Amino acid sequence: MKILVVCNAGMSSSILVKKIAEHAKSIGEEASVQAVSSSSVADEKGKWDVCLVAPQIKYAVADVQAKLGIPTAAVDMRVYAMADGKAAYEAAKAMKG
Amino acid sequence: MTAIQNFLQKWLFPIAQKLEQQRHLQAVKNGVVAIIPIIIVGSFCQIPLGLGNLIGGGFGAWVTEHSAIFTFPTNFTTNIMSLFSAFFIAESLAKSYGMKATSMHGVCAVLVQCVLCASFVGDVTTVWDVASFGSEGLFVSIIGGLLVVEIARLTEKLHLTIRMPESVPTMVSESFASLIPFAINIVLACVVAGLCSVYGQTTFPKIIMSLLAPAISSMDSVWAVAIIIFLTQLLWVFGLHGAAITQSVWAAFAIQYATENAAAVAAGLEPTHVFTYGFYFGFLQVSGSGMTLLLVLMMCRSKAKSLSAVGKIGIVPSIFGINEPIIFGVPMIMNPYMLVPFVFGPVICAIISYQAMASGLVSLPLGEAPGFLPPGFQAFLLTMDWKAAVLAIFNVCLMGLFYYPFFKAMEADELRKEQEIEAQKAAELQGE
Repeated sequence: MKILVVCNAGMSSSILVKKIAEHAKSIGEEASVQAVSSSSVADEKGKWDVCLVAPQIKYAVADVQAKLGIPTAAVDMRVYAMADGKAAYEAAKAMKG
Repeated sequence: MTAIQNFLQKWLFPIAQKLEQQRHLQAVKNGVVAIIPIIIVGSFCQIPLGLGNLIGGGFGAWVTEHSAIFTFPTNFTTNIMSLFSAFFIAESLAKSYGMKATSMHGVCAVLVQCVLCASFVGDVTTVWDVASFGSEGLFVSIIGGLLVVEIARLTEKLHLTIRMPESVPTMVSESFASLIPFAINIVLACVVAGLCSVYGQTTFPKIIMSLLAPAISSMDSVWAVAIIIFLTQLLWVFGLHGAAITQSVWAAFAIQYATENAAAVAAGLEPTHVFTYGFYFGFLQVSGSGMTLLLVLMMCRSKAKSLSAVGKIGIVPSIFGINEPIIFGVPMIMNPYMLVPFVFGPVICAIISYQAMASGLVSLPLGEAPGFLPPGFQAFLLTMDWKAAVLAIFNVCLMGLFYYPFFKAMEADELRKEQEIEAQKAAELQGE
């Protein structure tokens, strides 16, 4: 599964990205995960299955979804704070359906 | 408390949302932020001059004598930065509209910028007005960068484009499609520059600068900075990226000030502005919004498990200026304990830092410096003054003092909650 994580500068989301990739690997699933800044989302069209948006820019969810046309949702605050890769990965899987 | 919350939620939230979603403001913000690396490179050339002042004596004299060599690259970075900002602003706006060949719009904006800055007086060799490619041209590049894209959209709407048959490669057809908007934009720019020269005996950048002079001079003040930092912190209380949102308004000004300082230093003059990008991030957002580094240390040592768990995750990113784990983990959001130190503490730090610089106690920024560094590093690189690093670390310590009593109250509350849960578990076990 290909997961894009978006935050303001692509900095804080890179912490979560690492944890998601680690979790996916630990359960033997293939996942490619990447963090980008909200300003470069438009370049990512067609490359990803789902998109997670950092809670501090949750107002951008609709905008990001319109640009990417894939399931997009904000990450839960607590999950983001604790860089909970498992919870984020499961949320992403549920979004993909 | 709830009345204030309701009021803010009703008024502040929608304003923040509108500001962040307004595509022109976003294009300007993204465009000027994109040129920061270029200005940082230009500012590195000032480091020898700063070191010369710091060390003084024979070395200082030698550096001053050869300053033209050291600041040579400034001519091609900071001093022509409006050409780069024009490119990035137009490209960013074109992207937000989902237009094709976005870099073509960027290039068109650079061309327009050259024309708008030009003077038509005299012969062809004096047409180039390199002096206004620097900080003076920044606001021109904003106007030009946005208009170039809007005019291109208008021509598309009116079907004023050259269409090629389907069989023509995309690259070729796209470059032909951009011909007409390109030509219209350049002709318009020539008309504007020509009118300014002929009827105003001046240039377009000079007119824009004199129109914007009141706004430009009022942004670099202790009150403007205090209000900006207050709004930034308040937005974070609502879980929104404060700095990203307020930057839509102040980024262009801060960059303008930084380049003015850099140009002054390169010319052997004293810098004049306090409020630059580096001032904001290197002094007022050290270790992240709310300058939480000491709070994170307190959390790491806390007996409350929920606090220490978040603290341990947040400590390393915090050292490098990223504190989202702390903001969402404590959480700072809608937290009655943290509201006062988190919102008002940075305002006090802003007033102290601004006055320390304005009074000459700490040197002014020489340009811009890289961010996301441990506390004090950006402040030092920005000013080449050790006192600046001390000031940045002082701010972090002062914030620690502000957080301490509120943290203790919050911790006591957390501990009580954790004990209650433990007691409940124990009771359940006994019940079985």
